[in-house]
Amino acid sequence: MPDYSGANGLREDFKIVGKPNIPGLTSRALATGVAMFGADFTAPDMLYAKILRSPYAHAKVLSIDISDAMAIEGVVDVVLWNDPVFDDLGPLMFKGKRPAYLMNEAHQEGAEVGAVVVAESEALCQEALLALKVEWEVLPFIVDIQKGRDPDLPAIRGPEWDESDTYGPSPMTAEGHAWMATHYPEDPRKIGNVGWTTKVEGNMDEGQEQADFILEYDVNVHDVVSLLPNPQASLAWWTDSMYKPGETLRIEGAVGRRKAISALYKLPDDNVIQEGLFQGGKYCDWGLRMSQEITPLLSKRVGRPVRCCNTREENFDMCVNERYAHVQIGVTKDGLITSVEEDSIIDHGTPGSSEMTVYDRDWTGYYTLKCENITQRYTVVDSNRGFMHTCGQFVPYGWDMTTVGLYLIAEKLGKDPTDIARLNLHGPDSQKDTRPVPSFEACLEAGKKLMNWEWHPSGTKRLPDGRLHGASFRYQMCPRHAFLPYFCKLEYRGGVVHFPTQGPVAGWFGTECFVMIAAEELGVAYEDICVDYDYRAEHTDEAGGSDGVTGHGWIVKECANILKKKILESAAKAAQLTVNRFGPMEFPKPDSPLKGYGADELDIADGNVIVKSDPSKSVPLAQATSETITADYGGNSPKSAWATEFGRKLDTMNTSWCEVAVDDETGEVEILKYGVVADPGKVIRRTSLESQIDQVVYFTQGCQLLEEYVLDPETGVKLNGNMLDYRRPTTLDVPVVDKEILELRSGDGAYGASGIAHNLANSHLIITAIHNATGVWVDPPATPDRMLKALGKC
Amino acid sequence: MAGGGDLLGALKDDIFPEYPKTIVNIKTIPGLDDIKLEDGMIKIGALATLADIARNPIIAADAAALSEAAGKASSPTLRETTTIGGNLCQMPRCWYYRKLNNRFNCVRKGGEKCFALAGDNRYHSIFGGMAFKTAPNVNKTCIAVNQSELAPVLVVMGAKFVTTEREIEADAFFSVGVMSATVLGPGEILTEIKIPVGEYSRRCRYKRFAFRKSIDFPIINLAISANSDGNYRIYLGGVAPVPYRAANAEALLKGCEMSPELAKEAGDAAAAGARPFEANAYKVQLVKTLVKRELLAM
Repeated sequence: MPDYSGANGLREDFKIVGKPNIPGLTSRALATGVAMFGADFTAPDMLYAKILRSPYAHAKVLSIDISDAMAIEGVVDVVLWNDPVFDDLGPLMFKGKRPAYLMNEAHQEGAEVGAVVVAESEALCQEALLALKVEWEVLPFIVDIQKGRDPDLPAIRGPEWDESDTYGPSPMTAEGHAWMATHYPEDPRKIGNVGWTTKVEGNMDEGQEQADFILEYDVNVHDVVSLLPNPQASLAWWTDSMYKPGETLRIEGAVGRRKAISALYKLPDDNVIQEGLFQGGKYCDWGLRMSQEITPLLSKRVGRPVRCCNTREENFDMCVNERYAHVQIGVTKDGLITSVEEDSIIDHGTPGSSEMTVYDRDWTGYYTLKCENITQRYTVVDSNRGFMHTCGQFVPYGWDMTTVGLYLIAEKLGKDPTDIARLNLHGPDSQKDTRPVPSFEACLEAGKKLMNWEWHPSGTKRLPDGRLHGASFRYQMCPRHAFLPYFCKLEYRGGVVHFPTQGPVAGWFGTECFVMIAAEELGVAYEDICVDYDYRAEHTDEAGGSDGVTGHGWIVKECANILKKKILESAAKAAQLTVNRFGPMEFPKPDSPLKGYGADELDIADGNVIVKSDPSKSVPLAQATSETITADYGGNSPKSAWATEFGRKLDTMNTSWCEVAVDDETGEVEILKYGVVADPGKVIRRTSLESQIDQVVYFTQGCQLLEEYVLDPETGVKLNGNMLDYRRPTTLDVPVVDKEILELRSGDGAYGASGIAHNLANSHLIITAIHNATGVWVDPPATPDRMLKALGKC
Repeated sequence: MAGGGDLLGALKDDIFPEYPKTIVNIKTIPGLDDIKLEDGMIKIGALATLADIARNPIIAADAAALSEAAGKASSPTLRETTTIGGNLCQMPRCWYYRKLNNRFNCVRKGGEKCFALAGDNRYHSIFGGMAFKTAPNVNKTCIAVNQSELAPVLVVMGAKFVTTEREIEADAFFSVGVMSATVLGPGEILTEIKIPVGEYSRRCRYKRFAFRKSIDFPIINLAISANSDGNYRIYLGGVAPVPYRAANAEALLKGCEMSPELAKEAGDAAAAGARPFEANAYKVQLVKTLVKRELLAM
């Protein structure tokens, strides 16, 4: 719904919002290396820490003899898992219920386990780790979740990971939709390594009776890694603060998670200092790593600053987990879907992993369909494949099951998949609404033009160079999360508007968007708003993901208007004064051009307070009032259609398009053209928006063509935890993305904006284009070896 | 250590059973990075970087395929530091061999087994393993492949490798041993590569097949050269523990006029005798296709 409820939500004239090339506030720092990330911090007299990592996929540390390690000169401390020091720690963020902070059981190769060493250098830490005499008990493991379903396999999670309390009613949205469910009370109890959950909606029998045929297909998705670009690290030490009673902790590197650290160490928030802003890009990964949490504990023991930094390999955390979906859709002869039945086998990951997209079945693509007869059955298998923090950003939501289904219907009926999509997409208000969705229609038409769209059946077109040509299309919502309440404070002080924020700077340039909105509303230039980065500020750049920026921006917009009102009231009052006062002294004051006008007759434009009826009467803002004026605004932005209805209501949409060439003799796939037509509602910072589209296509391409997490079947050991063997696309591999941005203003964030990114990411757009080229399905990543196998060439 | 392209990463990842006590820097030995034309030979010092080779006019004029191979290796940054000697002597990229902290003490490190045999061998040899001694009277087999970017080109050009002790024909230089990928003995250092300028150096094609356009080692690479008498030399990298000579294909082509049918037959012949695993059977198809296409493009 457009931004009716907020101030100036329907504004037509934009001087700042939507402009391209607005400079990033921290771009210079990032480009010059001035920006400091967790791994960059050092302190005098600093020690180093390293955590023992399991060489086994599943193993228990029975004992550790530390005598040889402690005998190495320069080794200061070795802390074992059973040290009582861990008992004093508070709750953890995003790690589920752990039996202990540092456990003696590792559930994946590379997991932190058993011991931490502290030494004068990283090399000495490494030497000390090698000198530990560890008695391991190697345990059964599961890295193949298909095989992991075998009921005869021993349970890989012990009773300490009791999950029975998760069988409860799931949280509901205000609209009555369940979301973020783990299990439902009626779900069967977990047996061994396997859990189940089923959700049935509508009338499946009726849906299947209405169908003229049933289409069955598989959508298999592999896991990909987070691979945060900056090593996860922290440096911590304890100080006596001049300003705060009690102990004060200084920690750098746990950026944006100061409160999580204060909770872990049971400190008041104010007693934790963290000045670093930069955490590098991340994609829906909010969890801290042990290297970011443990340094305060170690520092307290040794009485010196301690730094702990993950290696590149240690940064290879699972991001999206494996899933094998088998889908059956009932379809009429016209192409209308009447029933959807999905059976998925999903990786549960290691204990404590996020279940955000493992058990919950609500954020699927199916709700964009008219069809309301939907059954989803999930079989969830515990594994030793990896720990998933809080991600699973796209694949597990099942958006790609719809893409593939619509394509297959088109193939079967000899129709254009865009027509099948249009037939099946419900209207703006509900699944029963048969009206077209304006945003979808606009994106569809613009996309066809952008791509010179000419549909052909699979395997029927060869390019002049002999390669097979394929094309695909996909739609989704442009989402806005808006789960969180947001808070903004603005302060007019010394003639300047200040915007205090704690950051962090994580790559989505949210603060820039907020400043643009504030400047737009206040009638001042972007550069005239002073951003005060302060870890104590309540405002955070995090906004429930980059597309949450527009919901958060809505709060900023309201706050700016409150400040503006207060400034104008103060300016009107100041204009009436005939003298300037300095203590007991009075000086005559020339008449202000604003004199005689009330606050409601004034406005701010181009940095001046002006008289609305006669803009020639103006005073520079800095001279209009000398008061210090603050405004704050907090709460929830308007309800987000995506985050409350999961597709049952449709506002802002996007379409993605892909053309590929497939060499059927080598299995090589080349993306010839990748197009995105997105309607994010309203563009806030065009540069950010376009970059996000590029980023998400990069992610999408990597997932579908190259990236893959390889585990040794014999040992469960990760084989490609490095940048050479885990193949992310290089800049030479990434296609130029043709973009067209529409602004239909139907989103529910600031000015009718929603967002971008998440739902553009997908696992099967390129895979579908490959099918269109070749007539065969390949499971991602479509590397030449898999392609040749799918083509029957090997 | 010269450019460090191979060794530095191995040391950082601590992949060896024992960390070396001493590392000798040979990068700064004067004259070992020269590239010159002398006595009908292109002579390349073992310390010449891949970037130097890629942009050298002498090589571009008389051994363009080598320029091409050097210019496609690795990444632009690494090409400026890594050397031809390192590229030829590098140890395998097998992910079991390279797993950090010597997680897999494989036969190439003197261990008991080749973990790739029962493990994930999608990038390994399709022409079987190569047996070698890991201890007196103990023979083991490794199925890791040689992925040197330059090896196939230099072999088909008939290069000779000069060491501190001898001169070795390029096709006899590569081998498999404990901590070794060449026939170099202890203390023996590769110093120079000599390429006879002639038909085999000038009429030569190079092709690499990799998943990405930069950084990746080739999954398969091949070089083909021929003289005016219709004698062909075809060598493949990435398919066997040492550069693999497609002798069947060479024999088939001898003295024949090229045609699409013959090129296809030669491609098939190049792959004849392959014994792939299920996971790397795709390489057989790649060999067939790449050989065929390069022959037609000659």
